[in-house]
Amino acid sequence: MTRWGMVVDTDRCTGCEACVVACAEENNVQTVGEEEAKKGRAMHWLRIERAVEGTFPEVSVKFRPVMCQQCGEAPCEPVCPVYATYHTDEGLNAMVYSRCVGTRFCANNCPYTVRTFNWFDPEFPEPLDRQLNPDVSVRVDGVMEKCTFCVQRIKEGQRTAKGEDRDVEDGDIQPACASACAAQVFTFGDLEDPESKAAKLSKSPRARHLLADLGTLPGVIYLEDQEWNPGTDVS
Amino acid sequence: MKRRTFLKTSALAAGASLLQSCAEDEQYLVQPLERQPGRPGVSRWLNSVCGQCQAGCGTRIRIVDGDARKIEGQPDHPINHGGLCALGQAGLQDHYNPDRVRTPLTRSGSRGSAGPLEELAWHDGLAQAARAIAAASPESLYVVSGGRSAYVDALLARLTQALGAAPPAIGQVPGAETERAALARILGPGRALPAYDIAAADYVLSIGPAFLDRGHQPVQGTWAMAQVRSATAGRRGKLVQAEARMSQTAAFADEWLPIRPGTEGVLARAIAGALAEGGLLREGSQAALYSQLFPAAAPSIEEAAATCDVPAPTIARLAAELGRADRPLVLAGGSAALTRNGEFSTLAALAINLLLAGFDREGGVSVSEPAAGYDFRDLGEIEAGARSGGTYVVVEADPVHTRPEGRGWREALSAAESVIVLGSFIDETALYADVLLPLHSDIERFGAVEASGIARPTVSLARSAVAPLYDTRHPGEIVLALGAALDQRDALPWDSFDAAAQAAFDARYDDGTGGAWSQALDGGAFQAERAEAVLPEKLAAFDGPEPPASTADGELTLVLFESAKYGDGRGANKPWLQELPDTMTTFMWSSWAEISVADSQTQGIRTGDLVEIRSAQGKITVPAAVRPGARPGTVAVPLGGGYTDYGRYAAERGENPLALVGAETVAGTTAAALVGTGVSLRRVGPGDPAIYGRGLRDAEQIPTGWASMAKGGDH
Repeated sequence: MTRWGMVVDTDRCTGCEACVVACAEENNVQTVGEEEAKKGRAMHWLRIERAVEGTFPEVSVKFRPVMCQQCGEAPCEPVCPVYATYHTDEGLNAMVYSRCVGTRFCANNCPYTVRTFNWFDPEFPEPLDRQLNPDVSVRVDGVMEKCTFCVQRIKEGQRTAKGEDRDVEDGDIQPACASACAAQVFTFGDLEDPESKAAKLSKSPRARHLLADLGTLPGVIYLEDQEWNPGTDVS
Repeated sequence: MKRRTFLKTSALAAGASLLQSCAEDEQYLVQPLERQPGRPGVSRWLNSVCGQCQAGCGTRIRIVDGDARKIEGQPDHPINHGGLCALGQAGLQDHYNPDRVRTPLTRSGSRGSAGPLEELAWHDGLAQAARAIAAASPESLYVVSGGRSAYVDALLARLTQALGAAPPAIGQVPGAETERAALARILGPGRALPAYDIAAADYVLSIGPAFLDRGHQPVQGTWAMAQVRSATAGRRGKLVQAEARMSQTAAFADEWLPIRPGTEGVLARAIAGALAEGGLLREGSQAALYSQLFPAAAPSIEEAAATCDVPAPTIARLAAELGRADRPLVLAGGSAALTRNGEFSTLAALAINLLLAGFDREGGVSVSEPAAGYDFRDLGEIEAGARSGGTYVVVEADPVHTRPEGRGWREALSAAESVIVLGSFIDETALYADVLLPLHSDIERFGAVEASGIARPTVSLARSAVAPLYDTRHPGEIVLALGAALDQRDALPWDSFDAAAQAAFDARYDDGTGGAWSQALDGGAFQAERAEAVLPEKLAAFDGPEPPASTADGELTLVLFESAKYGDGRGANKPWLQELPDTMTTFMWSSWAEISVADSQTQGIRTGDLVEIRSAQGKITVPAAVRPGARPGTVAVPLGGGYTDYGRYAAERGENPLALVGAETVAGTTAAALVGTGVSLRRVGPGDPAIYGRGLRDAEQIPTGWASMAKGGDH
């Protein structure tokens, strides 16, 4: 079995947000405009969180990209009355947009607050509509959405491998955030394949789950920041 | 036969016959419309060159049914190594921007306003531009370029030379003029920029440059820091950032020194002194050259601590860490180059590398040659001269918006004989245009960019990836057409931009076989061998002024910076970037002013309140962002807000902080001093900015959030 997962090395994240724009570009995520953004309705599927600690001049900031954690025990799934959000056999928390009736129970139940709701139909003034990715449906008002691990890229990778009569190889599939990242923060792969880079990194002593004590068993694993130590070889 | 069986059988038979008819493509009942060669619905990836800044990252464009759908970095490109920044990712919204200029335009009203503009045929637009240039006297012809392509700029330089005019002025990354001047004081006359081999360093001290936010090579810098932290050099490296503002680079750094702005040079001199006195010089250290450059005794650590507001033990420790590192590197310039004494600060930081034997070694400093070998000047040289009347040709630049108000661009363009703008949008400069000639987008054009700020000369090349959407042209083609119309075929003999670019490329890099050009065009990039940075036998003592940063009592120091999403403002017309929460403040759709907790308390300011910032030059009103990382006594405002036009996404959003800056220059140069203006701050009232609210932001929550995974647990 496959369990798609992502390892996020926060030690390398510079907070440049290239991933956030890449995600919107790949997944037809709408921009809502200033007035809606003021109401907290910006639609990003991926955000850069900052943890600020200390007071001036001893201030430190850590960046952390947060997207849907693709939980193994997902709090969003059992509350959907119409099965719009469900668990795939590859470990994804998937969304069927056409089933969604907009109860927003799933967003209410998500401890990571990564689900966003379409309060209005998206607008793409001509010719901005021509940038839309034809592999991803454009969501209309009343529909919930969130990060899919770029499921269209997963499917494309699987189709390509099948067409070439081979298995999907580690590294074949890259979500848009991972492709964009110059710092190579994201490593995507099959956590059930012990030889995959993601699976190996997930065993690192630096590996952490976000809000691990909730028991959601996320498919996203964070590698904690490292300290600089002149005497330690970390390679 | 039962009814149900009959229906089933009929359905199967009908399905089978349909399948049969679909067996070959030609037998589709409805033929799909082919908008472009290639199969419908099938994606292709074509190479292109990012033109959102001067860095020259190689991109690849996903094209489906003739339309570009996604921009990514070329995986093996020598500059960006597969990555791209937010601005580069948003290049699609440059191409598909609903406010792009679609045909040549001419003005029938007064300059400085959006209308009325009338459409022109290209023939007439070029003829009008050529007539205006022909009517100008050579000494009053001002050519300004945004510096997006050295190959276009080289054509402009040929044209101005043929006309007997001064060379084109190239808009540059803030601080670049000063960085060039400082490097020339070490390596001798020339206009090279320092280039840093960050990826191979194991200890990086950056005195000024927020090289991960923007700067010369933001994507390469990001990639390089990932290498530093991946223990490429044997162990995880360290980044120390000395900068007055807590930029993204400072936040990312292992250690941030919130230094008093304008005192970066003193810190650098003290570190150099501590290296020499602490016996931390290494084999190959150029201590003699350093002391020729700075003959006076270095300030003591205690003196520097008092001046810079950095603790003395920290300075001593940094010197020791630098001295003991295997491949230490000191970056110079950036924000430190933008104060009145920027040249001193930049040179003092750069010169530490002499003591670290850092010139021309792995993980050290080398030179980035001036691109494509053409003559140019700084924008400040035009501003410093007396300007009356004059004819301006502005190519992909917006000096009215990106230069300080005190540099007088509005007045100069209002009083000009003629203003010809080559651009894609009605930006602040285009509001003054008599003729506006619209350009291909990055992905529509033949891309030829020679990167700066990189040790090995690197040229990114790509053919156009998509057909032009509108009646636009390549800027290089326009220059060639103007050359022909002005009877300058001798200077500009080429029929197309790619032929001109190839001629310039071959003259510099071809080994006689002609293969380098076509290889680069197919592969996306060409890299030449690194130019040697040859140190001279002797250096002249630095005689430039070392004025301290001075603001009057009770005033705050203004710090202007390029944010990752707006840059100098070019990102402001893209909705993805407007709605992108700023990494440090999470502000969206607006400018902001970063204010320290201490200053906010004395004035009763809270995040989101509107504050008025006033200088001798002007005033702006923006929402405040109270930040724990803001240095007391400073107000930091991003560039890139306050457009009156530039399309629906940029117009009337935020304010342009350059309205606060007068004509001050970095002493000894013509570069604008963007850091150090004295300002006063006053709360105006409550504001209502868009601030991104999501996240697990409470600091208290972090320890829970980072609770360790159960070892070997199921995930």
